[in-house]
Order: sequence, then C-alpha cells, then structure tokens
Amino acid sequence: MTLDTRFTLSRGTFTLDVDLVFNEGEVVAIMGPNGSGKSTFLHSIAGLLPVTSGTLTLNGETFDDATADTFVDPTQRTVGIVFQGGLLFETMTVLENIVFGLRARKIKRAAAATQAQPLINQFALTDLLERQPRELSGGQAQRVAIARALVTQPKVLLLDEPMSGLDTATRQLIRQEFREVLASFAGYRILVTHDSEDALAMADRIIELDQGKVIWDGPVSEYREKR
Amino acid sequence: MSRSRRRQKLPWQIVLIAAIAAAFFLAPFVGLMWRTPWSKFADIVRRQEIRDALWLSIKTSLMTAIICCIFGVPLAWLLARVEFPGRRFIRALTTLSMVLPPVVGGIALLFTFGRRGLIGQYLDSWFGIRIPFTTTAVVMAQCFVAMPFLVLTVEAALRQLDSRFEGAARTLGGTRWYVFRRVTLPSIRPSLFAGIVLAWARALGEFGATITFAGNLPGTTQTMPLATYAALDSNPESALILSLVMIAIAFTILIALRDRWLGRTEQGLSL
Repeated sequence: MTLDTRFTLSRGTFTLDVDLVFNEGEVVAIMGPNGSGKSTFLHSIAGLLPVTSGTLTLNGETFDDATADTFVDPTQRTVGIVFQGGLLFETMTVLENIVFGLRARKIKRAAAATQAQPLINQFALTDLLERQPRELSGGQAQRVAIARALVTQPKVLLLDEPMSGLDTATRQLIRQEFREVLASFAGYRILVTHDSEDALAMADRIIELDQGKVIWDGPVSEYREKR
Repeated sequence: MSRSRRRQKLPWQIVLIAAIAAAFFLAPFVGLMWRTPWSKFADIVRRQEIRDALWLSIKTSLMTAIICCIFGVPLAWLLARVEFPGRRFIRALTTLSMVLPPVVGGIALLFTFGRRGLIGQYLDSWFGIRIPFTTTAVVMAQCFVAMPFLVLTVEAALRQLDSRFEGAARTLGGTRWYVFRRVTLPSIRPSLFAGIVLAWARALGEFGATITFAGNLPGTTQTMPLATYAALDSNPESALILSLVMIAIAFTILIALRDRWLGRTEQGLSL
C-alpha cells in the first residue's frame, strides 16, 4: 500500500514537480525554505489544490489525474491535515471544533461527542471543551487541531509546520507529544517543517524541497551524516 | 512622578478648523430642534398620512434589507472568492450604483422596468405586470441604491477571512454549503450585520430613485423622506417633525452599530 505523488502543480510562476512514493507506517518530514512548495504539496494531497499534470493515488485509488479529469473532492479523501497555527474555527468551542468532521457527516451532537471521547482523553482536552479557541495556549490549540484532524479516522495525517509560533519550552513538550501522536497513528504520516531539529526528532525519512523540486530524499540516518 | 501632568500643547489652528467642521454638523440639528413645534408633535405624528408614510418606510426598507441579504451575500461571496471573467466589471457596477446620483438610478430603472422599458414592456404585454408607481417599485429603487453597501461590506469581510479556514473545513468532510453555513457565515457575522443595517439605513433614507421610479403617491409609494419633502411646501411644521423622527431612527441605528458591529468592520466600509 502506497501513497503515490507523481505530478506537477503550477500556480502563477511557481511549479511544484514531484515524483515521490510514501509507504504506510513511515514518518516523513518534508523540509525546505519558505516558498519551496512544502505547503503546496500537502494541500495537493488534501485536495485543496488540483494538480496540473500527472497523478496522485492513495492505496491504488486515484485522487487526482489531470489527463483523466479525475478529481476526488477533499471531503472524500480521508486525509487529515493539521494546519500551521492550528487554524481552529474561532466561532466554535473546542468541542465543536473537535467534532466538526463528524457533524459534517450528519452525526448527531451527542453521538459525535461520544465518538470523539477517546481522542479527548488522549490529548487531555476534557477541561478545555467549552473554551473558545482564542482562550487556548499555542500548545493547547495544536492538540485540539490534531484531535480535530484525527476524529474522522483519516488514512493520511498531514502536519503543516505544527510547531511554528510556539516558544522553545512549549516546542520541547509538543515535540514529545507529537512523537507519541505520530507513533500511535497507523497510516501515512507526513510532517512539513523548516526546522531540522523537529525533522530529526520525529521522522524516519527526510525529503528536502527547493523551488518546487526534490533536492534530497533519504532515511534520517543518512541525513544526519550529510549534515 | 512617572507621568508628566503637563498637558501637551495642542496646535490651535487645527483645533479651530476642526471645531468649525464639528459645529457645521451640529448647527443644523440645533436649528431643526429650535424650530420644532414640540406642542404639536403628538398631533402631527398621529396623522394618517404620516403614519402611512412611516409604516410604508419601515415595511419597504425591511423588505429591501432582506432582499439585499438574500441576493447580496452570494454576490459578495462570488466577488471575493471566485475568479471569473468580468469580475472587475461587476464590482465596478456595484460600486457605481453607490456613487451615482440616485435620481439617475431612478431614471435607469424607469427606462428598464417602465411600461415601455427594455424589460417592462414584456412584463406588461406578457404578464400584465406594471412596476412603476407601485410599492414594488419603491423596494426596487431602494435595493438598487442600498445593496452595494451590503455587498461591499460583506465582500471586504470575506477577503479578510483566511480562506484556509474553509479549506480546513473541507478536508474535515464539510460540503461547500455546510462550510459556508458553519464556518464562513459565522466568521463574517459582524460584517454581515453591519452590511444589513447600512443597507437598511440607506433604504430608509432613499429619495431620488424612489420619487423618479415609484413616484410620490401617499399610501403606496410615499415614504418618509418623500412625505417630508412634500410637507415642506404646504406644512413646514410637519416637515420639521418628520425630520426629527428620521433623525431619531438614524441615531438609534448608529448607537446600535457602534456598540455591536462597527468596531470590527471599519475597514469594510472603505472602497
């Protein structure tokens, strides 16, 4: 079972050109400077940006094929994404944020809360459920964002700069927590970061992007040597 | 002492000019109140034609606010979120009706929906519908001048809203309509209310387009501003009192806006 990304994606003058295969179970960190195409890559997997040419397939199911005019809607992709800064819905409580994916599938409020309970316990969010997102610390917001992404039981978990904007102390804590999250998640795990410390601490494999192209791809041990 | 108690010296030239400007806004209200025959207030407000005008104004402006909301929000969303040919042209059109003298809008409506107008002739000959000089015409005239206020306010709010929120909601399984209802609309609620209130206030004060397209028929198309203008010739005291009633309404709107809605959407009003 693999996640195959063999496509180009053009936006204005920028082109992302990748030919990458991801294996279930590995934790992959994608690194690169700002504007290298890291976020664009994640957004294309999630279905927020269509590819310009080539294909994107998950476990043999074509998500996006520019020539065959196939495009699976983001709602149908079973891809969970944690955005930079958490991107919690400001007009909802923490609980409403967490169960959003269930409510969108027409699951009743009470049933959704019950279904989300294991995640709420796992991320120690019980005391925060009635709070507004603006009342949370950076680390708490990230935990809510992960719970929200996992609640629909996605096959792919994408983390887009999950540590950015956190102070050093929180970063240490969250890094440990993320490692546990990533370890407990069975599907495909892709983490975007511009911090090599984060990448080295959490990933099995590192991919470096620059100006839309893959300039390095290999296991984390080799990356360490290269440094 | 941590803080100097000496007042900073103000530049008196600027203060003087600003004071003149402020006085210019204040003086007309004082003048109006000074001449108002307060003892006759209750009698005049109770008159049938005045009550008709007031009721018509409230009825038509509320209908306008609702129609502007139903049609204006999707238009604002389209202008803010979707790239399509002619988008700039449509936005320019929306803005145009905002800066156009309302009487020109009224003439344009008359020559479009009038009995011999571009669309009006078919409405008349096919369906027997005649719009000019009806209450419907009042609402149409009001919508024409008021909707841009709502569209531009909501569009600005949508532009400021990070579209990644909607993207996040989509990846969580929300259909476009669900995301629009549950994420987009709640996020722009303050601006939406501000836009509705602005459109409503604009509709309430509408004069030029209404008198041109809908005429000045008491009970059918004579709204408060029209009744006030008509009274100025025959019965200046009524005009004064009607003006006062409208000032009171406008004032109430402003207070409501200041506390609840305008604070977060000031930028929404800039063009």
